[in-house]
Amino acid sequence: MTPTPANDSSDAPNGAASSSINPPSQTDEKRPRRRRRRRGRQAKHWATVWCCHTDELPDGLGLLAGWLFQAIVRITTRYTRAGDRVLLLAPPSPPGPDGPRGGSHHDPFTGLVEAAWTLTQLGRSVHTWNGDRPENRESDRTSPPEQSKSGPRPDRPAAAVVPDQPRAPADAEPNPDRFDLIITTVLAETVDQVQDTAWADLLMPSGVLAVITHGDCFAGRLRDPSTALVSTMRSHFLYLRDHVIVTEVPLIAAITSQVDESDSHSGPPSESVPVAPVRAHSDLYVFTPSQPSIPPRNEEEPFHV
Amino acid sequence: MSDPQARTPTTPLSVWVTGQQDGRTQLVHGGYVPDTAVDQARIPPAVAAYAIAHYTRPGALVLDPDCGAGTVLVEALRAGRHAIGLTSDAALRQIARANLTAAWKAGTFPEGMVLDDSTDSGTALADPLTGVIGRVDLVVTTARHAHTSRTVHAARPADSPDVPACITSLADALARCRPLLRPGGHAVVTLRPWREDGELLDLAGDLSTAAHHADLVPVERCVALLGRVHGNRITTRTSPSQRRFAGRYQRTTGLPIHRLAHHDVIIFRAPSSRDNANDTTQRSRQHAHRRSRGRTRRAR
Repeated sequence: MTPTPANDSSDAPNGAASSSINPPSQTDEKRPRRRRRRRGRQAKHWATVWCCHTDELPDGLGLLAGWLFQAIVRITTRYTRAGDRVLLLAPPSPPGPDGPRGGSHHDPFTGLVEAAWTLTQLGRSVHTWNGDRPENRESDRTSPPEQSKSGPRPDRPAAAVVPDQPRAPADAEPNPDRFDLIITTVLAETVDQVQDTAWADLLMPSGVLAVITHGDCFAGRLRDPSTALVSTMRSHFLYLRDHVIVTEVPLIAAITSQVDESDSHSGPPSESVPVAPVRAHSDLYVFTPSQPSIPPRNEEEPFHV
Repeated sequence: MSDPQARTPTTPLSVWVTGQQDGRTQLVHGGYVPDTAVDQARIPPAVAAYAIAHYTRPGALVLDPDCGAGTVLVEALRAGRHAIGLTSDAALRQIARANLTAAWKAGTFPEGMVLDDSTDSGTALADPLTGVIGRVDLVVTTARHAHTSRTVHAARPADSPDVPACITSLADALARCRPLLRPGGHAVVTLRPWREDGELLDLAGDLSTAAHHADLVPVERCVALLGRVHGNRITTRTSPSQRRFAGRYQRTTGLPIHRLAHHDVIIFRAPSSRDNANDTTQRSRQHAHRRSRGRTRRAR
């Protein structure tokens, strides 16, 4: 099944030809002609909240969550065109309780590279990087490299080279193998690894870096990787351009539960600690290299976003 | 946060569905005076109502240290909570008091008041509220931006030039509210996305850092919707000027931006005695773990 991007504009219906076969009759001429708005392609308007929950997934996906698949497709169609180069960069697995490669750890972003084939069907040139860096491979050197859906895994990108000083993508050496779009994910416990990636060598000067992440609560305290992520990217001369909320569950249930609760205003069941909310969303942060400044005009609101 | 699959129908989500009605409809249905719309930085009534219902019980005390036209106060009264608001803006203070009067006339009976916060003393907050030290159950407030980017740039404090002035003033307000919060009480802060020279600012990060100095622990990060949910879609409501800016941004940069459909919500909690005991226990365990690792390395 070929996914369709959200907010697709409706095309003009087939057969709605402007010219008729039969000449207009006199009766038709007497009727006032109503102007009809031409139903062509309308501007697509995207919101800062994406409802990505879906129960329908293309065949062949295993670990990739439905909402994450939808988000990847939307990011790709939103920021690239056919022929653009896209990199799906799966980060190293987070350490488990038994060590760097042991134990079990629920990674909600597992299977990122499974979307490669779908993006290829959308006309993008897709590359994937799925695996750990050499310094994390302690005993698994003889195992074969994992294969992506779009074909054999390419040579390891320059991401493994840690630059002495981060450079802006515009200052990096010209390289036609850089990408127009990089999609990656970050967990709270692995946000430090973002610093070790030479983004300038991976991203085109006009490219887009899309990072999906989320905060979580640990020992009663919020662990939010967004601050460290934004700060690290700034040190790599990548600036935050947009923040999109990606919902993972259908929100209709939340509407129903809120309606039921609003009548009583009873508050939390326990006086001391309210019920912790269930995480229903992830955060998409969009970074780009330095862009021209856009000061607001006097007549515009100050809260422009 | 718990597993989404294990949630019950009444389990709250990190996404607050608070945009089913547009802002003006919320004001009309809430019985607000018409001048309330002048306060463009107000917390939407639906967002305030959600925070109050989730984090307090009837009879609780809610405080807004920069209440503006008083939407937090009115929603607290309507939910059976008491409310105190402060603002240094004389015009907004008058509107807030009018809204409280309208709420009382509509049949709410909890106590509410709006105080003048326009003093030079940094400890002025404690003077009129000495009697509620340690008794406030919930603080609900928002960052109020300056009206022009030039003002924002000029108003940044010298000791923290990278922190927007709105966050600095918000952090100061939270620090002054801290003594008023009861142990385990919450502070809910809504943040409207803000751009400077095309770059989106990380207000949540700046706020969390500043709140740390006020001994407030960030516990949750949620999203309050401004758009209406239709099944699996969200409809945005943006002003003509916002749409013009988005169009100009895209023409200038070639990069599309998204129409605003949410506010970020950061929830903080004042440590309780149990939190302090847990912190002590955790620090002891970490110290013991580090000592055992040191012994292991020396043994090798």
